[in-house]
Amino acid sequence: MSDLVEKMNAIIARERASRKQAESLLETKSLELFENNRQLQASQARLEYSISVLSEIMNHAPDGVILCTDDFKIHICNRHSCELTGHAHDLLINQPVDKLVHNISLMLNRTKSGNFTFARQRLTRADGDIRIVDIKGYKGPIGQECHYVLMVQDITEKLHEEQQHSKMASQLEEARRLEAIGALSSGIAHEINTPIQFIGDNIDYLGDAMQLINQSYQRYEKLRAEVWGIEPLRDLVAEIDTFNASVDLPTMIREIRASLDDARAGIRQVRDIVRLMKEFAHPGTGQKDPVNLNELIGNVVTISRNQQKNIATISLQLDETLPQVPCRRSQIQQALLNLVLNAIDAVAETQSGSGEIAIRTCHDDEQVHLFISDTGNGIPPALRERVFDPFFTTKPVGKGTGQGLALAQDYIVTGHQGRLSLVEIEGYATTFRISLPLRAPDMNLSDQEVEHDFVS
Amino acid sequence: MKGVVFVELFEFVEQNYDVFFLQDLIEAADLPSGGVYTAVGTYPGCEMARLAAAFAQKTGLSVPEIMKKFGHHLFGRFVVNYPAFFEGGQDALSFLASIEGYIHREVYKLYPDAELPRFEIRDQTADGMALIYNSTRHLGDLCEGLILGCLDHFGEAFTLTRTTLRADDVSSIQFDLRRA
Repeated sequence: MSDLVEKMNAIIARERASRKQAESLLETKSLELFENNRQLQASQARLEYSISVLSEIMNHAPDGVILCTDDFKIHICNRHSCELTGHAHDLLINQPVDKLVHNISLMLNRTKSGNFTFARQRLTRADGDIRIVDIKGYKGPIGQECHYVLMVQDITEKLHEEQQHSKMASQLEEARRLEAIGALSSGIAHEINTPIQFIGDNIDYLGDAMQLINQSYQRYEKLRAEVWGIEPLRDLVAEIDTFNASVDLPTMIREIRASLDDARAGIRQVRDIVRLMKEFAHPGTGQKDPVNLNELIGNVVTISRNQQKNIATISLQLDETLPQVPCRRSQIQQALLNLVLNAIDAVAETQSGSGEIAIRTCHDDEQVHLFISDTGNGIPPALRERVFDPFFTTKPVGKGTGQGLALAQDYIVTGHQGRLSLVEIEGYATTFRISLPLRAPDMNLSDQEVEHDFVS
Repeated sequence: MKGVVFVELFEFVEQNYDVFFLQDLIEAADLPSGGVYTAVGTYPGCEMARLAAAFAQKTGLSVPEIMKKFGHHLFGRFVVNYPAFFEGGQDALSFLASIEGYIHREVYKLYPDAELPRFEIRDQTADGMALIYNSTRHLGDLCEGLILGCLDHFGEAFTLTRTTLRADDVSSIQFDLRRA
């Protein structure tokens, strides 16, 4: 009996010890659990903070941020990615990144682990528009798999501004070059003028001398006819006749006269061009003088003859009754020349490379009007408002300064209170109208009053 | 070794004998822990060997025989205590094949310091497979008992062949199961 009691006591003691051990373990585990829970909460708070920060960075990043998996599908993308691509967020997720930038997966695949840069890539938006983007990023493992982090920066506007800046710099350079040429042209005109003057004088002298020689020759001819029958002179006269028959002196004299006339015309043309060069080099800003616009048009056609060659046929419809207009001759001539040169360039840019330019003048009681029309490609409606802007040009870099129309507008509107308008005339792609007042108006027109009317 | 194995061994002894037999067994085994175990504690594996030896001495059964019987009993207890592992309409082969990748992984979540055997599965087909037991505890007999308990639980008839591959500091035993 005592043996049984002893065994029972041992069993109870073992069970009690087991219970105490279990309680102790439970307490230890509870403490561990509490500590683990505390650490977990701290970790969760840190994690939530990190997620919040990351989310803020992603949402407010000025660039598109895209995370791609190793099969080049979009796994995560930020708000700016959606704005940049025009796709809704859900429509981007799990889509191939090639959908945005053609064949970028090939480039990503080829790139080594670490940072990479792909400059000036073409990104296709949802609406089909193309944006130029710089893509910088990182290739490497996130977790067990290789991932690609892409930072996509839209540089379309920046690139456009750079191009505009470059174009403007080029135009400024061209303007400076033309200014230098203008300054030089004054000196060149002077240098040409002096020899042209004495060449002209010499030609006049040769003409006069030729006239006298001819008169003298006529007298000799008369003498020859008188003395033909006198015996001692017969042989000499026969010799003169033989010589005259071989050289055909009357014809030669006519040709010499014609040649001298041609030379005089050529000299006059050179003199006119030199005079115009001088006028352009020293544009008048002072007093307005009565000017015949038809005459100015003739000058401009002469000056631009070289540019017209094989490109444009210029037809003139000039009002013979056009009254003289009070204006600064060189400014209006410059404005006309700019418009005619633009018309020639417009015609040259057509598919055939040639066409027509029409210049017409007319007047009413208040104003004279001058129309310059061409059969070029015309000005797209979107650009019509901008053609008078300084430095605006559709010509290639180095060709146009973008100042021709701006200058013409300044001369006509500011300098003469006139109007320069883009109008429409049937049969022509582009027509500019210049209207100049016959009397000085009471007030100046502001820039805002420049017309862009369209007259059928 | 996790305390649950000792606790279940005591349950097994009490069920088949009585509490006094168990107390005699504990005293005969002269255990450092005094036989004080809790299911969530961890205890030296050598105490299991001492208990098995004392058990054998008192009953006349061999240690392997005792461990196989206990293994069979232990599997039944696992079914009762951990029903989540037996959900999903598995069969014996797929359950045994999932131990390493699923059950042991779950155990490590709760007990990162647990020293569990490593099971390799080879040549698994619908009609059989090879399960290789690797452990430093040398409890191949317990493993065999567990496998037999598993086959009984799922009510499937397999012939079980046992081949010792290695028996030094590490015990490596291949169990071939072929559908009968």
